[in-house]
Amino acid sequence: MLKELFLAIVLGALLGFGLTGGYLAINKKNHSNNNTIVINTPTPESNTNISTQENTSHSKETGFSLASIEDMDVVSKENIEINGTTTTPNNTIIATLEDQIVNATSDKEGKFSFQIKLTSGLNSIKITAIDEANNQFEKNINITYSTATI
Amino acid sequence: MVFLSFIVLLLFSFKPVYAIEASSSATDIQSIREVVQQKVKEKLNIITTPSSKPKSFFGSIKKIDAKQIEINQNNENKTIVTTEDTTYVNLKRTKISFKDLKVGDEVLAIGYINSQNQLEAKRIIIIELKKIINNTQIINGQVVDVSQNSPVFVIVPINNKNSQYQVETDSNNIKKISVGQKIVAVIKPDEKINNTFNLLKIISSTSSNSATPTPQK
Repeated sequence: MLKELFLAIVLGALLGFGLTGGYLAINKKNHSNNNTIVINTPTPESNTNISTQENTSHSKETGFSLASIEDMDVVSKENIEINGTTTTPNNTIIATLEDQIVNATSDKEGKFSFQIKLTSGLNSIKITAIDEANNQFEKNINITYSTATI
Repeated sequence: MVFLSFIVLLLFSFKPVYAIEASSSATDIQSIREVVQQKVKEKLNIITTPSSKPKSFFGSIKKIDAKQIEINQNNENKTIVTTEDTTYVNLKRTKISFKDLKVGDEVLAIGYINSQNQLEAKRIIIIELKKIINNTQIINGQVVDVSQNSPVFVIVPINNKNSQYQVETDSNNIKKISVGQKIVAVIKPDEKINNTFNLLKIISSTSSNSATPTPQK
């Protein structure tokens, strides 16, 4: 009787280990699949989308985007550098502010940069890009120059 | 007996393993969920919390409440919130108070945008918008006529052949302009003569015979 009980325990243990091992192997496989699903959740996509919206806003309709400055910004420096990217290369860029007329050309990657001098208070800057096909794009940005502590 | 023992052992051997694996898997999912929630929260904070960069609103005052000013900025209503710390400056750059503001005044408000997209103003300055508006125009077009009697020429934009601009310049510049020439010019409406513009600068010009742009000063 004791011998049979011992045999049953050993056999049971062996069978139990076997089944447990199999279960673990299957579960591990499923677990790795679960991870893949988690990676495919919208989090990474939303991150990408947000940064894309923040960094680039240009489209073919707008013709160019500005990277360094936004409309309604307040700056404490008199001279500011405006840079951006045109959708096509070699655009003529013209910026006007009161009596200042600044022109630049975007490079083969569409990048352009120029400096403009602000006057105290509100500055309405008009930026125009003309591409090689004579399409013309325009943006108005209003920048406030103030040295007061805000 | 053996069979019974075997069944009992089988049940005992499964249950703890199942519990451990389930809890382990649930913990992993929970930790991933927390990471995702944290990332979403961070991004939402960036989007919804008040901006750390100062911003400005400008426009004509439409309505003044106890602490709020409603302005019209480019046909859009914007709200400026004032506090006890807000300073007010008039056209002569002297300090005034909130009660000195009136409907119709044109103001520039500097402050920080809150989560309701209102500007919490630190400084409100009375301005004259007509002095700030940038009314320059960039014309990329072709010269169709040059006056023989006065320094005036007519340009038709390449992309809008239905419109034309009569541009006044000086006696030196007019010598460089000829019919058929393609130019990119910066112009501004003449304040005295209707439908006439003043030439501010020629950015580039191409002679009617040449296809190569000749940059001008």
